[in-house]
Amino acid sequence: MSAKERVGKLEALLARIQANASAPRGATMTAIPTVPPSAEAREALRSESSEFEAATEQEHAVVPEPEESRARLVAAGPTVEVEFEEEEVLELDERNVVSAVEVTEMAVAAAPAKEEEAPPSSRRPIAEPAESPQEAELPIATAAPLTPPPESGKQVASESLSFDDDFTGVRESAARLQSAPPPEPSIALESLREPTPPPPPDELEADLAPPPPIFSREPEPEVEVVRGDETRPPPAPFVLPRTEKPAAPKPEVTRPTTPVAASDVATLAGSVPTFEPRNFGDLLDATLSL
Amino acid sequence: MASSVDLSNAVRFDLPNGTVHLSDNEKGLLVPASVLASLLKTTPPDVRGQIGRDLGAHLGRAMARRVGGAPALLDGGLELAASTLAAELALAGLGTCALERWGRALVVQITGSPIEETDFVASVVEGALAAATGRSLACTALSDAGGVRILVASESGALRVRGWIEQGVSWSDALVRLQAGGGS
Repeated sequence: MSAKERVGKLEALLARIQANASAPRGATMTAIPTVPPSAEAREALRSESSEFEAATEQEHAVVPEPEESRARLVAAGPTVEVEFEEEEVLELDERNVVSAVEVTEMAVAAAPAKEEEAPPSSRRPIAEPAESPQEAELPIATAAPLTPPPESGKQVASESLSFDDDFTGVRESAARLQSAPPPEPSIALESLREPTPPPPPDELEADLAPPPPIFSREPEPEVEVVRGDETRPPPAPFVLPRTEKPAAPKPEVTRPTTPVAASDVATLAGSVPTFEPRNFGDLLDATLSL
Repeated sequence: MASSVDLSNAVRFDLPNGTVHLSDNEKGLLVPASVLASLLKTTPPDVRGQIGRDLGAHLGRAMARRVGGAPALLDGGLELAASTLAAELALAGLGTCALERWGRALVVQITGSPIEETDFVASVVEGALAAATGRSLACTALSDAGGVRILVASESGALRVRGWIEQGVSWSDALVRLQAGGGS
């Protein structure tokens, strides 16, 4: 690079710095390296930008601010200017520039939160107060003030809403469970708890042993067949229809050989009462009794 | 063999005085049967019955007197009772009679009566037997074929049989139903 190009580049850099300085801002935006670069990083930077080592003019490292993070940086408070020694002044290119957003976020993470009274229902620990005035003056502390979580109000659970206990893990207390009436079993559960008795086995059903394996070398177990009552007659054998006329059957006749005695078969007990009036008076009494 | 009934001096005519004396010295009257029949036809049934019972009572007292009283008549046989009753009916000109026994029922058959009114004849028999025996009884006519058959029974029995006959039941079936104890 020639000297002329070098001078032009420096002038462009100076113009850009002046333009940034004259920009209408509430505060000077300056990137603040919170952690100085390490020795190795400085050596690397030095080797990469050795051409800028001859620069004698001290410059403030200005990091251009993105437009979208402007509001956060405005709220960040006063800037801190750090002066570096001449030999440590390096001109950084785009790779070495850390955006203001990242810096701001890092500052917010490292800064103590503003002391604020925590609501009674909040479990989030509130940041402890700053121990030193320098710590309290850090822009990080005011860059993004922590807001306490909203106080949780009491909501009455709706009776109509129901949640699955197994899913939510929230279960009712034992007292409420004891006071509550026992739930009626649903139809499906009831059917499971009270199974219908199996139908009586059919007469033809038999409890057969499981079939033996096909290629088993063990002797086959004796099959025990359980049958019901032998109420049904065995099936009639199949009879072929006769084609020839059968001969007339001849019955075997057995006749009585012992004669039956006819005497004293019936016994007459007494006799039929007859009315024999002895005189006219008896007949008159009999007819008047009718 | 039953002895005959002595009817001597049963009726005595007092011709000079123009009177007729009956066996109990009671005055009598000889009237034609047709006149009595005409009289009975014009009288109500209850009056006719009462006339027949009064006439039968005269006959029954004569029966008892002839046999020596009611107990003798009751202790006597059926022939004595039948003969005595028949003698008194004949002396009055009301026909003759026979006693029939249908099981336990006593039936009096009257034949040859000049009076056709069966209820009147039955009332005469009722009065005669009641007076001769001293028993309370009732008689009702069963039929008028071959004579007048009269049932001798109690008042309830005679009333039931009369009702059955009025309903068309034959007199023989009525007697069987009566002895079987059938109700009305």
